[in-house]
Amino acid sequence: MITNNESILSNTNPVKKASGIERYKSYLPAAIIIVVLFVLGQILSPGFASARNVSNIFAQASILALVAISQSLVIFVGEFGIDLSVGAIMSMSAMLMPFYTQGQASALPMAIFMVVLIGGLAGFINGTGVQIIKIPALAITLVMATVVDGFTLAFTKGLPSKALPEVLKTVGQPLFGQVRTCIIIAVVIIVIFQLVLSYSRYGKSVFLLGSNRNAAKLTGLRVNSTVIIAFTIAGMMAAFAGVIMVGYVGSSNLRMGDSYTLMSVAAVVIGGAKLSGGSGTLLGAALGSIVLILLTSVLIAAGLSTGIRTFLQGLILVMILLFNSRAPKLRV
Amino acid sequence: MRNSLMKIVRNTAFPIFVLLIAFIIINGAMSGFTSSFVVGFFTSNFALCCVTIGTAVIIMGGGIDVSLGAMVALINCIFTQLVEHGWNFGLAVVVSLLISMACGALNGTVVGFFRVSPMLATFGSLSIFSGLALTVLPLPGGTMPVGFRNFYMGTIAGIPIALLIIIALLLLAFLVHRSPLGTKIIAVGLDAPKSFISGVRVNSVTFFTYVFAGFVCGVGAIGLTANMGGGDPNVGTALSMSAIASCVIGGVALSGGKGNALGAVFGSLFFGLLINTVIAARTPSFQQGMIRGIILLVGMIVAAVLLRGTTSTRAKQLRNEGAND
Repeated sequence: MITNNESILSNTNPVKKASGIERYKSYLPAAIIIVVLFVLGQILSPGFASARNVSNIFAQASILALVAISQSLVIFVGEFGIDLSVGAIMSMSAMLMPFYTQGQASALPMAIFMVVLIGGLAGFINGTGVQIIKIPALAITLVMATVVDGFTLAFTKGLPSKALPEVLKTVGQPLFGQVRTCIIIAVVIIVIFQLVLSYSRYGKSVFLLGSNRNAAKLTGLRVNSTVIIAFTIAGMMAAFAGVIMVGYVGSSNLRMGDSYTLMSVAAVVIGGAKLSGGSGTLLGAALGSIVLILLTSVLIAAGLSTGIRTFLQGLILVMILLFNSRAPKLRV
Repeated sequence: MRNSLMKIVRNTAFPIFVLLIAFIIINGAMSGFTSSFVVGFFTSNFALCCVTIGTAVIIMGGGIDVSLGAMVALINCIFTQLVEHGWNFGLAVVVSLLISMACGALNGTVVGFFRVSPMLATFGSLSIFSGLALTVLPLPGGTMPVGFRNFYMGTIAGIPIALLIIIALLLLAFLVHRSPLGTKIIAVGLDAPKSFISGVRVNSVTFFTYVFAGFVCGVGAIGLTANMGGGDPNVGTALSMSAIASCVIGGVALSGGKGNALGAVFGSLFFGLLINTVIAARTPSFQQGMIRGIILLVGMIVAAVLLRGTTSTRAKQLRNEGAND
């Protein structure tokens, strides 16, 4: 029990807001890295920081940010929750969009409803497995990824497709100035989710569960339903992110969501959340997404080969983690 | 007698053992076992078995590693290039194994000594390794000496060489498990802060588990090279995830400190056999992936339910000793 008390003290209480600069301190590393990367990109290839390119980067980051919302919910709710099926769910919805719409704009709402439903179902099974059957989140979501991948292949025969309604393809187009539709969609959804997380009864119980599962249980919070709902919403959001992704790219293929799985985890952590749960914000996750996309863009701008680029990406990510998210020393 | 029987039944490897036997019977009934099938099965699942042993040791010590697949690809490419450049064969093997241990040491340093979350740290090194693999060997290629391939696909007294190497690695893992170091690995996996207070050097123990995994992956990568007859920078992408799933089905608890490498290898053999069974059952090719995934999901749920009663004896001993202090 001593350890439990300690963890209450050591966790920053998300309900009581810290004041002044303290409150924004967790965003600082991500913000600094973004500025540094932009300067670096401008030096390496002039025109990197132009409005057009910045808008391009933000558009790509907005897709990652949408998946990062999924990942955030699962990570916030605690007990080392993680969702490794988000990438597979994104690929699933990207592949199913052409299948359901066949390029017809009128079929769009129904198609989005269907993929979000399937994503939610996958998330629901994940949550039930974690909370009722007590399988670690890492394990069940990993296997769920293979199930969803298999489902997508069985359903669509794995053929890439471009049969998308034109309306969906406009998510990558500027709405006004250089502000693209997908950026606005991401911002609106992040704001809504952040408000729900900060002010609703449900949102507060998510953080309390993440801070101290036992205490939350003893105070009478509904642990099971809160966790299952978090996983279900995560699945739904991943499916929705897949819709935006396929609209942005303009065509679908079987593996297009894969890289988002671990990137979303990294984005959430770079944004200042703890993998053990109970702390973090969606703004942080969005900043983390920008960092990761920006990093790739800078390395592409530097004109390096794929091998060197992947290598540097990994190296820089490890560096960021070394600065940003080290566990406290065991020696107290 | 009854006692030792209970010991076997309560072992964490027991549920997967039963599941594996069931699948061997199903598979045998459907297609029958020829000796060439058995040899082919072990040679093609060799790398997964090796990566699974490494993953099991890391998970038992409370860590996780998603970079091992990329590490296998890197060693595969390096080994191919060394042989292509006319290096002495034995020297190429030794250098490849040393590099794989160095890769493990990189993970071990970042996770053990710098205390970065293992999931993310190894995600970073995944990029590092696959980037290096692409640089060493941008396109799949290379040739392997015929003698080496024949040796790897051969048998001694009817037992495939690949299986013998897996058994040797398992013995090695077993020896580590039984040594004082093995006890420390389990202690760290169960509760790192308490182990630290009891005088266990948690950093070094974690470091060791990653280096050990690096070595085992190196062996797996060399076997894979023999099997493919060359190198491919994209070869190992699915390996680490399959290995983690194999560990979980094989009774290695992701929370650490519970399970053994034997169960994990049973898990990976189950994984390989599952693919064979689904193909042998003449399922339409597009549905194979989904059926495999669903069986895996059900297997994991069954294993999770069956494993509730089991605790590894070593963990129990440690707990009891802790309670007496």
